[in-house]
Parts: sequence; C-alpha cells; structure tokens
Amino acid sequence: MNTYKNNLYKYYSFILKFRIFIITAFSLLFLYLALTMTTLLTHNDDELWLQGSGEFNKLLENSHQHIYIHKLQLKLEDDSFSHTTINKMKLLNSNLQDVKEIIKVDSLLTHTVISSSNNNDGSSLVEARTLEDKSTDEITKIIQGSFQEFSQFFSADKKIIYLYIFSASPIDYESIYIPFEYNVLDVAENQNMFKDIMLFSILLVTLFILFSITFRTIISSILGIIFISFNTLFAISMYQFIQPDVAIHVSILLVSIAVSIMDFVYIYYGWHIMQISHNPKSSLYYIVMKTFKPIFWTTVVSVVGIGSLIFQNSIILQSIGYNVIFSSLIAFILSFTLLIALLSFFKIRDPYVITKNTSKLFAALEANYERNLLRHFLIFSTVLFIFLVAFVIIQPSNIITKADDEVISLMFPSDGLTHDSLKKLEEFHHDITHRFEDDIISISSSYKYAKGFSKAYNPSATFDVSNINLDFIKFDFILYGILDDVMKDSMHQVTIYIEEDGVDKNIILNWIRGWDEEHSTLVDDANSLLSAAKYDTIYHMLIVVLFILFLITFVIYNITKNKTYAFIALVVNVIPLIWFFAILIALSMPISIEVLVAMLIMIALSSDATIHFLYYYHRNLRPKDSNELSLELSFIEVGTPVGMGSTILLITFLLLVFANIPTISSIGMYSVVLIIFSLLADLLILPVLFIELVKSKKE
Amino acid sequence: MKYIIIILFFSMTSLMALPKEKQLVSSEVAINLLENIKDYAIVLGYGEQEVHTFIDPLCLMSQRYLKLLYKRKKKIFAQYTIYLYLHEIKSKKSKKHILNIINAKSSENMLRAIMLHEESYILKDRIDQKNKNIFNDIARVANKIGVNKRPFIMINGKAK
Repeated sequence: MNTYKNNLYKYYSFILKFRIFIITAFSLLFLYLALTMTTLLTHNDDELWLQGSGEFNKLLENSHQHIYIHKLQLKLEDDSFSHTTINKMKLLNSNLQDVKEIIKVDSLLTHTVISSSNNNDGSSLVEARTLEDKSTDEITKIIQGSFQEFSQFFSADKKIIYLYIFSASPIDYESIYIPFEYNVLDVAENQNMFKDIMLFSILLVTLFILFSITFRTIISSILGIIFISFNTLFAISMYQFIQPDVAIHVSILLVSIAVSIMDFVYIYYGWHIMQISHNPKSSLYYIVMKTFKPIFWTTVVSVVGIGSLIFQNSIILQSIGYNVIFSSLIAFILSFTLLIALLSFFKIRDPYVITKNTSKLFAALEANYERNLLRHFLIFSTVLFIFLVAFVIIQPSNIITKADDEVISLMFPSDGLTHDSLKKLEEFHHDITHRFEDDIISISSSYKYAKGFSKAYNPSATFDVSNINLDFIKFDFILYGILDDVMKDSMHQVTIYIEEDGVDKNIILNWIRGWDEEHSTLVDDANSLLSAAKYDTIYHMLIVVLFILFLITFVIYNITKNKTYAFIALVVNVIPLIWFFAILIALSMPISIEVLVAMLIMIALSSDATIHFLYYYHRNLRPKDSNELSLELSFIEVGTPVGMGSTILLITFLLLVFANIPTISSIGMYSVVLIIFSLLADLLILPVLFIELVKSKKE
Repeated sequence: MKYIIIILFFSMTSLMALPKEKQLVSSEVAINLLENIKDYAIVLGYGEQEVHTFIDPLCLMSQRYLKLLYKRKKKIFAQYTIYLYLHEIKSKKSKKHILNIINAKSSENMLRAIMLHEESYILKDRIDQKNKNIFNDIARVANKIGVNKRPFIMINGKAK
C-alpha cells in the first residue's frame, strides 16, 4: 500500500511539475483536432445498421443492390372514388414517373389485373391491364366492381390511399409535387450540421448551468465543459482515425459523454468538499489517491464490458464499442492528467456541499429500514424476473422492435423462370398464406402472375405448375411489362404486402428466414434488412448486458474478496433492469436500439456508482459506527457525486426528449426512466443491503 | 318433321358449342409449315427466339397485341423475332386490308396505319396476283395448323 501511495505521490508531483506543459499540449491537440475535424454526425442509423449485418452481406455476396420501399399515405378529403381524387392520382403518378431514382410505383393506377378476354372471336391474348390509361369513369367503375383486387391500396375506412414506391435510393418527397395531404413512413434524416451544433450547444449550456447550481462556483462549470469537450473531441478523432469511412451516430456520442462525465464529477466533487478541512494541494493529492482505484475499475468495466461490442459483426455495435473504449480510456487519462493539472490552479473558499442536510436525513430514514419491506421487495423483484424470463422465452417476438412499414421484398435465387423455381414459389405462397392467413393482403411474384395467366387462358383447367408453358409465360411477362417487377436477372422477386393491423412485420420476416432451410432467400428492401439486422443484434446486446453484469460482480469480488459485496453489486444493477423491462412489457413497448443504448448508458452509470459505493464501504467499514453515521458519511462522500452526476445526466437527457430528432428523443426518454431507477437502486437499495448483509454481520 | 328439325337444331348447336381444337398438327409439323410462309410474314425484332402470330388487321385483340408489341419494343424486339402473318377472320371482312398491307411498299408502315390508326391510308382495289397468292398460302397453312383465333400466337411450334 505504501509503495502504491509513494508511486501515486511521485506521479502526482510529476503532473504538478509539468502542469503548464500538460495543459498546453492537450490544448494544442484540441485546437488541431477541432480545426481539422471533417466528420459530420449522422442522425440516420440505417446505413450503420445494414453494414456488417448477415442478411445485408448475403445480398452483397449475390451482387445485388438493396432497394427502398416507402409507403406513401394519401389522406382523402372527399370520396375515394371521386373524379377529383382520381385526377389527382393521375397527376401524382405522372410526377413520380419523372423521378429517376424511382424504380416502380405500385398503386391503384399501376396495379396489374389479369382476367380472361371477353372477345367473342377468340384470342390468344388475355386482359392484363392497369388503370393508368383508362378514363376517370372507367377507373371508378373498375375499382368499385372489383374492390378486393385493389384493397391493399386503401385503409379499412377508405379515407387513406396507399402508394408503394420502390426506389434505388431514399427519396426527398418535399421536392415532388404531391396533390394530397400525405405521410411517408420510414424517411430517415441523414446529416444535419445545424441540428448537431444546436444539440451540443444546448447540451453544454445545460451542463454549465447545472454544474454552477450544484457547486455554487463557476470553476466547476468551466472545468466540466473543458473536460467533456476535450474528451468528446479526442474520442471522435480516435474513432475516425480507426474507422475513417464510418459516420458516427449522434446517439453514440451521448453514450460516450455519459460514460466519461462521472469521472469528472467524482474527482471534482471530492476535491471540492475536501477543501472544507484541507488546503487545495493536499485535497488534490487525497482525491487522486481516493479515486484512482475505483475510476480505474469503472474504466475496466466500461472498456471490457461495453467495449466487447467491437467483436460483433454489426458496424453500429462496433462503433458503440469503439467509442465507449476511447471515451473511457481518454476520460481516465484526462482525469489524472489535464484535470489534475487544471485543478491545481484553483482553490475553493467555503466550499458549498449541496447535500449536507439531506445526507443526514436520508441516512436516518434508511438506517431504520423495514426488514420485511426489503424482503418483500426482493422477493417480488425475483418473481418479476422469473416472469420476464418466461415471457421472453415463450413470446420472443413480442419484444422485437415494431416495424411501421408493411412491405417485405425478397429475392429467390434461381436459374431463371423454371418449373422448379415456380414450384418453390408455390410452396412459399402456400406456407406463408397458411401461417399468416389474416395478416397478408397480397403477394406479388412470378408464380402469382404465371398462375393468373394460366387460369385466364384456360379457366376450366386445374392449375398445375408443371403444365405451365414457360415460353409463353415469359413472353407474356415481357409483353405486359411484368417481368421487371417479378424477375431480377435470374432471381425471382417477391413482394409481400402486410395488413395494416396485422401481425408485426418482424414476425413474418423471421418466419421467412426460418422457412428457407438453405438460407438462400435474400431480403432486399432496406427496411426489412434493417429489421433483420436489429433483430439479430438484440440477442447480442442482451448478452453484452449480461456480460457487463457479470463483469461488475467479478470486479467487486476482485476488489473486496467478499462474495456478499459481489452479490450486492449484482442485485443493485439487475433490479433497475427488471423494473424497466416490466414497464416495457406492461406497456407493450418493444425493444429497440434506443432502449438498448439507454440500457448501456444506465449500466455504465450504475456500475460506476456501485463500484464507488462498495469500494468506499469496503475501505471504510467500521463495525462500531452506528448504521446512521456509516450511511451519512457514505452519502456525503459517494452518494452525493452519484446523485449529482445522475441528476445532471437526467436533466440533460430530459432536455433531449424535446429535441426534434426522433432517435435522440427516444434515447432521452428511456435514459431518464432508467437513470431514475438506477439512482433509486444506488441510493435506497444498495446502502440498505450493505447494512443488512455486511455491516450487521460484523457487529 | 318438326321434331327432326328441332333435334337437328340442337345437335348443330351442341356441335358448335364444342371447344375448338387448339392445334391440329404436332409442333414439328407446325414448324415445317410455318417455314413455308416465313418469307410472307411482317418481321419485327431481331431476337433469338421466334414468335409466330396470325393476326387480322381489323380484329381489336390483334390491334391490342400489336400495340403492346410496340409499347415494349425495346425489350421484346431484342429477345424475340416476331413473325406476323395476316389471316382474315371471315366476319371482319378484312381481305382488302390484308391485300393492301401485303401490296404496300412498306408492309409494316401500312400495318401500323391500319391497325394502330397512326396515319391515314387509302385502300387500293387492284392487287397483284402474286400478293393474292401470298394471302392464299398463309390461309392454307393457317387452316392446316388450325388457327382458330386472333391473335394466334405460336412459340416453338406450339400455340397458346
């Protein structure tokens, strides 16, 4: 221990000796990186999700480009079959045809309907027509006469018309004249420098104000902003150095800030209150001594735990992993170099301790806890945990991200239009409609049209795939302009339209992926690929969360060599997650990336708090002290920075809820709930468990 | 006598109601027969696969077929060679139109004028005997194959 202290003192003296040099070096590096920074943050995580995902890689291996399908919802002011509506539809159809990125529009007007010819003279032609070229009266008559054929283009109340737009790249709908009030599902925003600058300005101003209020000095605000800015810029730059071609999602930056901010709070707060009884220099050395080990271990948990995401194939998970590793390591380095060097220039007169009275009050309340209440709470949480595990095992699909879009586009690799490939499609049609009878509106495929043509030519004959004359079917496909819709090179394109109020698309998608035992079917629309990528990731993310829980337990055991401490660490970190999951399931809210990012933020904060708390208890276990005094001291020394850090992040994330960026707002909302749960567990359950399981046993 | 007439009437009606034979000859024979009249066809496209079609210029479905061929000509003409044989539907009384198309300097342009109404045209009454023979040769092959509808589309000697 003495060697440790001596080495730490030598290190501390070294930092003070070269403090000007350290500050100058870091500042110059900061300026250089800020001036040469070219990276923009992305708000659209779609591309990041796709890169490295299994389904997307399969598509690339087949040298096939993914497509985008947008469901345009047109709100009708009057009757859906009125002349005005149909004329507007015609205008829109023509406007969309002028957009070069659009591959195909599937709408009322472009939908191909096959029927037998009514010509009395007899003909080798069948009717395979679209409504595009027909008069308004004819369109109205046809739609009203065979509404079922067009039902996929109407909402149940016929007040909304749907258009499915297939494009090679995302479409900017604001640049197209759409003569309806409309909504587009799945239009993601890419880069928006103005929003990024606004977001981080608000974030920094909020942190500045909150630090000032908490410590009643501007020093904390200035140093806090310097620390966070330096840490963020250094972390982004390092990530860009390693992955120069990958954009950073704005939410990942928030994880990085959340991971690093607590290091500053612990060091600054310790130095701040230490000056009540010590001079600034001794305070600085003591705080280095007190926080070095717990901050080192919290960094280990973040780097090894969340950092393990870099071994995942998914680029977005890798990017979270790398950013947390860099952010944690840089925060650790800055904490014990730049921050110490900066703090050495300041001193606080009459340091203000915000929780002086509340710590005493809290300690008195918690020291006299109800043992039965604690027991009931733990039993109830355990039962809830068992229920959640059972629920996830029995109904895993209920926890998947909900998908709003209702189209799935697939490619079936084959050697062209053959009887075998049509038989496979027939089998697929049969199985999927059997399984999701009420959930699928229609399926567009070469099989559907081949069957339609065969039946139209010979309505009385029983349809059999092996009897199809492929020469004629192919000729018909080209003659009626269907081939490009159902075949790409030698592959068959299948488009599945799902009922608006039917089962979630992810469930169908997952069934399709399981149906094809050869795993040759390719999902080729961006939204479905995204859903598949997220679905594959959820289990990995859950494993990472479990790994972090194990790691926290292991670290605590390693520090204390006491199984009870390790058990407390596990319980305190698991309880917020159990309650959070219970709320998600009770409110039928699915797991999404936003939820998982929020969980990582929470677990990073919670593990910090647990390690700091238990390290303090382990170092300061005085069996003869009263429970009340033990708790009061722990609240002042550790509880306060935990509460402060969490509250500062909580308010920051609360502000993000109102940011006009959907992903950020969601992360903000989930983080607020999780931080509250985590804070309650750290301040209410952890100290009580310590008294119940450790201190009372030593007395 | 009255009953005999009624029975005869019903027998005739039922005979007419029987589905018409799709194709009277095998695909090999059909291919050979078509070879004989290939030179009389109006040829569209340059694709590898041959599509032989009997059309009547005044038949609405034949007109629709031609319209579709031209609508997708880029794709169809690259993959198929379309042989169009002009064969009259008796009820349409289109012989004069057919002979004028065969007789025209550019049969394709005349065909489009008549069938797609792209431009005005004048029908001549005097037609070379040679062209009348072409009309008859096509009709003879069509009857042997069993062409019973228009358009009558054949690929690899098989009809739709």
